[in-house]
Amino acid sequence: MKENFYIQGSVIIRNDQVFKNGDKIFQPDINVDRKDFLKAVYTFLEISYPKFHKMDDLCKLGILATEILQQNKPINSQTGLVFQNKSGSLVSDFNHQQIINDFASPAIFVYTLPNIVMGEVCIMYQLNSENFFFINPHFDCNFVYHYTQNLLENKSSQEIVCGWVEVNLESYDIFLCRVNKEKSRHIFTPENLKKAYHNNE
Amino acid sequence: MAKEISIVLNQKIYIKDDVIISALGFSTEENIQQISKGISAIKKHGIGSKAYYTSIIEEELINQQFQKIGDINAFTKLEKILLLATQQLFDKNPDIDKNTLEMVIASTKGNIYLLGENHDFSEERVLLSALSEILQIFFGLKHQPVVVSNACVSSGLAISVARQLLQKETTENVMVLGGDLVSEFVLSGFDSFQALAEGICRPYDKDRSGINIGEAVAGMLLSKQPIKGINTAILAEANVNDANHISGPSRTGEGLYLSVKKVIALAQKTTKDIDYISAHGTATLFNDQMESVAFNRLEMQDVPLNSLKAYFGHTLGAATLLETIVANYSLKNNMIFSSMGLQALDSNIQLNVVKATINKELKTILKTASGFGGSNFAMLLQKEMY
Amino acid sequence: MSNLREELKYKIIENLNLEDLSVEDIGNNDLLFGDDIGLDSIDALEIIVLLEKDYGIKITDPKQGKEIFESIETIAQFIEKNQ
Repeated sequence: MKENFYIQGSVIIRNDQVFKNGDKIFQPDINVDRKDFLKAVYTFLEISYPKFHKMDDLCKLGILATEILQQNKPINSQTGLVFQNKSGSLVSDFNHQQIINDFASPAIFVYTLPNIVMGEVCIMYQLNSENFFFINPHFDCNFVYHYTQNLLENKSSQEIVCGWVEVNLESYDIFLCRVNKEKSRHIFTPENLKKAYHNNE
Repeated sequence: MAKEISIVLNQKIYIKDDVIISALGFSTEENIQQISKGISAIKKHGIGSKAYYTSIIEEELINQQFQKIGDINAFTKLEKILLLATQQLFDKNPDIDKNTLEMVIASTKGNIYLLGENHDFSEERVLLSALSEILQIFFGLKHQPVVVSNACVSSGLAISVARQLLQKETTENVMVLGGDLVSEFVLSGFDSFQALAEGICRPYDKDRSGINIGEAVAGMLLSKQPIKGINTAILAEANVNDANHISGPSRTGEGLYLSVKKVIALAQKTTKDIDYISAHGTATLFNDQMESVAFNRLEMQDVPLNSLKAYFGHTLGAATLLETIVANYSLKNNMIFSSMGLQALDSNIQLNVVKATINKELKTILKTASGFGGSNFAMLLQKEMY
Repeated sequence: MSNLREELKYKIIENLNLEDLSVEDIGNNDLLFGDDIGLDSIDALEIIVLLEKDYGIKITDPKQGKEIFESIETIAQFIEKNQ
């Protein structure tokens, strides 16, 4: 028998706009570059976390999306993470590659692994939880659904933050969603996960 | 309901076959033979403008093997090794159904070294998802291989992923592969961390000075069904983030401590059931110290323990799987390989590190690993007769 | 002489992405890795790279770094002694 879990909320950050549960909550007044956009969202959310500025774009976006997800109700230390993307840590990979013939930078190299974004999220919210980072050419909501559902059913994690965290040199596309057993309007299904991913259109 | 869940948790999966390709050889047997003789894969190699102690598989040897199954110019070095390892598992297990077989690939950096080279491959080839496509097409697999990338515990997590895939009724077998190459990309980074050893690394030794990076591909065929005779069951796995620092382990060993506690609880065992720990033992100051703290907190300081890093180096995305294969050999043969590189135990480390190879009756063993991003992994293996 | 100290503060803020700090916020004797500035182990490695790249000084023993990197003052004195 299948147990039901529910989507508690979702966040989308794409095209320099931020959406919470489908509603646009932030867009800068003028066109800005990626770095300034990320800083603007950070300021908008009134986060005070100096480490943020040291992170690469993937980690910054992961932190910003998680922060919005847990604004109303903090996530607890048993919240597992199931992330997926296409390009891994490609932006930091490029930055590291460009300087290795000169002096490699430890502060860049440390971000050349995709799962570091989950590490940063765990540190910021003090999660001693299960982390899985998957690579796929596109957001595979069936796979992410099944994996998340299984972890919840097996009681491996009480709650999961799952989604798509793609960041490459040209663009980014962030979608995170929070799932647990508290009843909400949206049952956790592949269809509803897909709907939430497209919930800004 | 609760009963049903506990059945899912306790479902065992079995190691049906395995393969290691490293600088020590092109099969599990060849690799075991070499380490039995105390031979290390680590040598001094010039890479970029510097020399590093590392282990590298000669491309010439790979090509000699690979030309029997494919075009040596159509694939990258890592792809060729992954394909060779997979081919070996197919050859030894002709009954595998490619329509139901699932595959999980673990790698930290895949073909990333292409970023620094002139090559004729497409730009997308540097992405880890390329490995999935290459393997699926080459072997005509119905299901697209899953790619997992969680730093140094990647191939351990790949086994957890395999367990989930085996929960599907239609899945009989899952092939798990882990692989990474040595490149200037990776070495220069670890060098900037001042984490590399001058010479062959010395896990748990008082004079340890850092790690060696090595390259290897490891593969395992997992199944829901045991075979007749001696089996190795994987009882459970756990991974817990230590939420401490992205590049350094928690000094209290919290993540490793919690991972081991969790895996033992999942398998309904106690720490007293553990006969041997195949540990991470990278030979950095902090990692080895952290492991000692964690295992002491668990009161497992007297359990025989070793690190295999001085034989192979730290093989990153392949490491956990490769070391599990060697540990499985130990389990089946009731022996524990010497933790090479140990001369005098660090006085800050209270662990029962196996200095010289010993024989010991083994039934239940623990494999652990830790990595960047705060990842910690623990897995229990048990010998069973059917 | 104090130029070197100001230069170091500027470089550390730039290289370590300490966006919330400006040169005026860092005192010459503030503890860089303690409560004052709060740097971590990656920052220490980054300062090692900075010293090699910009001042041609190589630190190979990370333990040595601990004393040298106590404050802007101790780093400056170390550079003056070794250049």
